[in-house]
Amino acid sequence: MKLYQTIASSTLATVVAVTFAAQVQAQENVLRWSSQSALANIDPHGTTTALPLSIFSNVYEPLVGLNSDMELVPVLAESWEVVNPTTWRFKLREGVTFHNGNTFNADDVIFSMERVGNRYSFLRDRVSMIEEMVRVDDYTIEFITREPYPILPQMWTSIYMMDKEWAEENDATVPSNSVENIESYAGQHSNGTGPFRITERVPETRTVFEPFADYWDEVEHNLDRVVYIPITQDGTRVAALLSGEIDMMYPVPIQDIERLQSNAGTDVLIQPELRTIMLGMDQNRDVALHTNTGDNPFKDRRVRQAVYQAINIDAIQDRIMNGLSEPAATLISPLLFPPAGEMERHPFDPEASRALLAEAGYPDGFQTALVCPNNRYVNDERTCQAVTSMLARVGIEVELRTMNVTQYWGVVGRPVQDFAMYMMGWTPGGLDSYSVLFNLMGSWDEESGRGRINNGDFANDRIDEIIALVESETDTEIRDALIMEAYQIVHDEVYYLPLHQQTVVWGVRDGIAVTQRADDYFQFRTARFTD
Amino acid sequence: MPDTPAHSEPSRWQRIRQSDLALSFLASKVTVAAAFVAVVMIAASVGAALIAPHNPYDMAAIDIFDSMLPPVWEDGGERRFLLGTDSIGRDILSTILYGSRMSIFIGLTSVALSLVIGVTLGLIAGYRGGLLDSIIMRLAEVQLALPTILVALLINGILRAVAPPTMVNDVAVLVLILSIGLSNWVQFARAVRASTMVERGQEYVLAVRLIGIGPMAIMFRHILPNVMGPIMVIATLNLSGAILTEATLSFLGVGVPSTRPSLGTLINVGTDYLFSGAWWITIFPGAALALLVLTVNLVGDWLRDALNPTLG
Repeated sequence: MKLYQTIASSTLATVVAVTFAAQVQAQENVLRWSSQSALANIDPHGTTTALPLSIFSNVYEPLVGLNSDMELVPVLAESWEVVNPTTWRFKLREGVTFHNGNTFNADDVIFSMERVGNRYSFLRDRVSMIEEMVRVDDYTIEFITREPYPILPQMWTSIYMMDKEWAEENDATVPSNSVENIESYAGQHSNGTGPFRITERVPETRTVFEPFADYWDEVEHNLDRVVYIPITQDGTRVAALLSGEIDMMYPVPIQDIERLQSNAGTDVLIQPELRTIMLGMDQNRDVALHTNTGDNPFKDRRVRQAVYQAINIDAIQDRIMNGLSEPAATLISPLLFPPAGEMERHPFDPEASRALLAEAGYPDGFQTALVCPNNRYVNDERTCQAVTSMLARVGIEVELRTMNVTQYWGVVGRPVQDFAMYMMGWTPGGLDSYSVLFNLMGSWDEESGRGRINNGDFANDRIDEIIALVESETDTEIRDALIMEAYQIVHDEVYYLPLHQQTVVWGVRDGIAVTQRADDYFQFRTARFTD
Repeated sequence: MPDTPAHSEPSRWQRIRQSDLALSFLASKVTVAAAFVAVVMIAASVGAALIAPHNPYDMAAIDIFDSMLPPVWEDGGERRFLLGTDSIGRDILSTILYGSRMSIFIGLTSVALSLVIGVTLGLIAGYRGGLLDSIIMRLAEVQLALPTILVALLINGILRAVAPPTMVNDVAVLVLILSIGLSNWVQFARAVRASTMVERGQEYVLAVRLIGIGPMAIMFRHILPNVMGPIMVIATLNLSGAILTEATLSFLGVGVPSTRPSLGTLINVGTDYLFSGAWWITIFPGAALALLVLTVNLVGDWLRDALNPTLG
């Protein structure tokens, strides 16, 4: 698949450039932009990855969204209220139509929520709190939750609404699922309420968006067309921006920021990102895969801490990330959960690391393997290579396996989990700690989806307890204390090795104004041609 | 080279020196120079473990604080790293030596694979003729119609899809050898078939047939030695092509992984840094690749002229 992308990026860049050169002359505002990976499908409920979800936000809309300051704003819901601690009443916006002309109403909401809650949906955990949905009238709907659920609107900012009639007509009621090989009609076609509709899609090559004339809201953009062109190679993407083949792209490789700033015609936008990059370890199997010890060293807390203390995070920040990363002590950014800023990392100390390994019964270290994506996070492969060399210095010989992100999820995710160690990045859904606790720290529970991304499969009863408590706790202070306790347990037990929060860097051509967001959502409606 | 002291009898070495081939070789200064450079490069990469100043595969010896150092003659360069370091602190000179070893190894083995396949099929087609000949040669023509790199990409893609994702790095070298080897056999087959068809009618072949020797023995024991000339020429010319194909595949990201880099992988990694001014990460491996391919090609060209002027 990478093969296609590479060929696509080289040949199609030319083709697209030629094709669109002609159209620019016709005074059309065509915004061409690029990021790292192609859209595997365009099903808004068929992925949990940030890039496709962010692109879909231009086509589909949630009930409640986030504005560019990461504050909750009404979108397809006009307003909402908590009737009682377990009942939420949403008043829907009237006069909204889907791209095919159908009217948006409460039936579509109920249908979409059910589709998101389908057992094949990757976003199932975001709606699992719903016990019952009551259709009060065409534009009013009540959600009844099992327990009080104070952060319900935050959880739904990427839950997009789909047209019930359209989905049923086209037999698209089950969401696309690349792991289970489910191909939905909605994976190839789109019909949302958003300001843009997808008019053309060539898989792995380009996706074309055009403004939706009957969009319900005012928009600031002056675009006639938007073309998304995936370019996997960092260098190629920079070259495309420098040469004017594309107007905007992210992420900008860190080493090229200066070049884009000093170049006449291009500039960069920089903002701290909310995602946290971490390493995980298999803590479930009795014999770890790709490891030569005959047992699972990562079940021993001392080994996990040894690995932690062998990693020189300052060196990674300084040499790999050019200073543009914030070393993390836990799995959430302090921007989202301020108390996290008070936590401190286990200090970098190779001596202590060797001592811990000896104490755990591996005085000569051992061999193991690390799985890393190579086109997902900022300098992901290089970070892993640096970690590999740091671990080698305390005697842990790591075989590094890098792969593109499409393959990566098939290897690291459930149920394959073919790794001893893996790298992962996580932006909490709803930008709330609950998502971190529920997905990354809870023990795996198939029915509720708890621990779905706890790929290392560790289990801690107290954390599970805290998750249940946090879910329904309405007092912020108590809730924060509980969350903090869970982070502290993860820190003390070294269930994860947090690395850093990276930086969002967008590259933009002069003459284009875009609004950068900390969640890396590029919203076309905020883009303008200024010249 | 075997260098035995000269005796009164014309020694083997003297006979080699006096042969047409040697005289023609020594007469061409370009070829001598090219052969010298190629031999030095191949020897240096074979002996990489002995002469490289660092071991780029030994992760414990790599220090992240050594990353992105320029070559020694630039500001900030260090004597430990003659040609500078890459983004994770590997010595460029050492990675080039180890990388060329990987490139040459893949080049040689894939040429050997195409040689075995091509010669076998060519002999059978040329000797047997008829339907078998038609099938083999039509297959060859179909493959010849497609550029080598596309066929290699196709085979590579299929093999990679078949291998489980976690195994891809482990089998990467094997996949490369297979995909390059399987995409290059056609030239061998065509040349061998043509020569075999000539040899088939010779009297010595008729003679061995009359004494009841089986076709396999005739093909491989009697005809093959007489068609070796063109095979050697094609093999040498194909070696540079195979090295280049390997570099292309690795550059496209479907070759050897960056933890055990070949020249193509190094160039690929380096292109990410071209815009930021760290030119040495990609220029030096690129220059090494160009030099290696050029010199091997020059030697191959000379060999073609010397052995078989009719061979296009």
